[in-house]
Amino acid sequence: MPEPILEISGVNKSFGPVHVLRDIDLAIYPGQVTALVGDNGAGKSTLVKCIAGIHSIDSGTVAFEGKPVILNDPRVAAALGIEFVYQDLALADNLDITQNMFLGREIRRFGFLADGQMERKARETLTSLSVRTVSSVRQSVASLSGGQRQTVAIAKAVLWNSKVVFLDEPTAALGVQQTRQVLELVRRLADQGLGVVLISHNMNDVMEVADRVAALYLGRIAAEVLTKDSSTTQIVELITAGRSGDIGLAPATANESI
Amino acid sequence: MGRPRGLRFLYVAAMQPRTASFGSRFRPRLTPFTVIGAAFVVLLLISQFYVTSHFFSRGSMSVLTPLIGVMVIVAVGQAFVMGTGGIDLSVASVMTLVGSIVLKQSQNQNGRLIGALVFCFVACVVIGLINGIFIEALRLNALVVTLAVGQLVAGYTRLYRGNVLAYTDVPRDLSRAAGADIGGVSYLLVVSVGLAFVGTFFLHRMVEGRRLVASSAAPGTALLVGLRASGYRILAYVIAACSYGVGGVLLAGQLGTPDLTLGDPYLLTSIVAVVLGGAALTGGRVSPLATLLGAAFITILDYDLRVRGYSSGMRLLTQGIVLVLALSLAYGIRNLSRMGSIFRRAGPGRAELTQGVVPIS
Ligand SMILES: Nc1ncnc2c1ncn2[C@@H]1O[C@H](COP(=O)(O)OP(=O)(O)O)[C@@H](O)[C@H]1O
Ligand SMILES: [Mg+2]
Repeated sequence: MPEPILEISGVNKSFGPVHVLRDIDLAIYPGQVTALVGDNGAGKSTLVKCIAGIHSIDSGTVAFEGKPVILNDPRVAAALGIEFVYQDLALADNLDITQNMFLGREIRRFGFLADGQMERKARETLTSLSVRTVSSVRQSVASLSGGQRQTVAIAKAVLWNSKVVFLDEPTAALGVQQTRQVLELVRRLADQGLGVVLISHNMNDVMEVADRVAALYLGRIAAEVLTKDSSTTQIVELITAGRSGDIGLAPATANESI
Repeated sequence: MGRPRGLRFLYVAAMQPRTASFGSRFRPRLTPFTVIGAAFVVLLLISQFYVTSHFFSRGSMSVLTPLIGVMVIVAVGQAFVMGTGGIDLSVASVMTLVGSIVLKQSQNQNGRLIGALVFCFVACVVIGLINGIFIEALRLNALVVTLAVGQLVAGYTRLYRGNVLAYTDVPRDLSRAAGADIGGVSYLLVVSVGLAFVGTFFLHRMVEGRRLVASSAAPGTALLVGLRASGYRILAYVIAACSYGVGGVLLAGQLGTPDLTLGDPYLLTSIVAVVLGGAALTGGRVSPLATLLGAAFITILDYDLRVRGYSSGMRLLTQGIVLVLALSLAYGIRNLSRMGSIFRRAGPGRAELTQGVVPIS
């Protein structure tokens, strides 16, 4: 077992009186797809945004490559090589693909935008991911289909030699074929050695690409299991009841959360 | 595809969304820029062949071009704010204020002009910051904030001017500079066109400009990416206030004796010009060059009506009508595809049907 590249321990987060994340422990390993599953409102997106530094955490620690880090600004995470593909996509509709991929991290030449260079890099990245669904990197994002937008968002995340990528429900709004393409892309990222976190509540997707599964139940990690040792039924039980057989939260804890 | 240069760059910069191949850039499309461009050409033809046969004469150019120049500068400022989804009603007061500052600080002496201009600049930056911070940091309504700030500025201007004015003329250097022309075409117009290009360059070629566009059109995205989106939108208010300042100073120089109503005609008209330039009121689309055409259009239209002897009531009415028409047209262009699909979706359940046919492989 390799060392985890990102390790989250004891993270708590409340929005006012609502305690959304409770003592979250989670480890992300390089070269593996970790699925983060959980019911609607379990706190998956919140956890991602806490790690990104969009929300502050109330308590807990995050270690990156073994060293403690404080992620309080999206740029800090980006500088470390942690990238995010948000559920609410985070692409600007009125910019084109290249402009979106470099938004916030534009390449400058003599203080001005080096569009040609950015365009070349964007194209290289899409090619390296074997993306053939996007015809031009100058296309406006508004004109793309859901699958293409997801592809661009993922390409944007790996453009920066990133080491960890979080994907929040990347297949939620996609058709069968587009889902297949995005899942293949996800697998390829892990095969290239990145630590990938895939958030999904589609069990087929999870069983297909994930190496490990962390189930979130009402803001707690119910269990972390290996996909090859578990069944869909088991994971569904963890999602819906917080426990399955003798794994998961203790019955008292699972009930207390409700 | 290399970096665009020269004239081609100017053209390309005006034609946002940019597309892949060189050839497709020059295919005429229904964009706000092409629409206002066409309307502008039609208006020029009407002006020359129907309104007055002397439209392009030196005489009418020397009246018209300074008016257009000031209008363009002010409208481009307004465009930056409207691009963020806001609106700036402090235009008129800011222009009047800088007119009064130039008058009082310079005391009709050329030597004191620079000091007066610095004073104007500081005042504009402060006003822009107040507008921007109240609207973006405190999330107050742009309409209300700029109305209130405009009122404050107007009040301050009256106090500042006092009851008796020692000087009623701006320094000669300023009036000479603002009154200069080349072959009847005012330098003000030349300067304003230059500023519109600078604005375009800023938005398309500079990092801050692109981030401003993103922060305006997709604020949520900008935040997720880690941009200080409200900071960029505050910047838009400061840029705008400074534009009004430049417009106000040049107008004061043009008129020679700026009074307390100096900026009044620019409030509604600057908004009309921006809308004519196709900026969606919900924000996001800032195009200084389209705004330039919008400003020229509304100024020329007003001039034509005056030449034909229409009353000021009639002219105001026309501005209102143009505003409504432009808004509907802008909405129509933006939602062309959606409106098309409304008409096409004659048979019930058609959308569901097409969604059901997902290729399975
Ligand atoms: N910005 C916020 N302010 C207040 N409550 C929030 C906020 N974001 C999320 N929540 C609440 O946190 C809980 C978890 O939400 P979320 O993380 O989006 O769930 P998931 O992504 O697992 O469906 C929900 O109850 C939601 O209402
Ligand atoms: Mg979510």
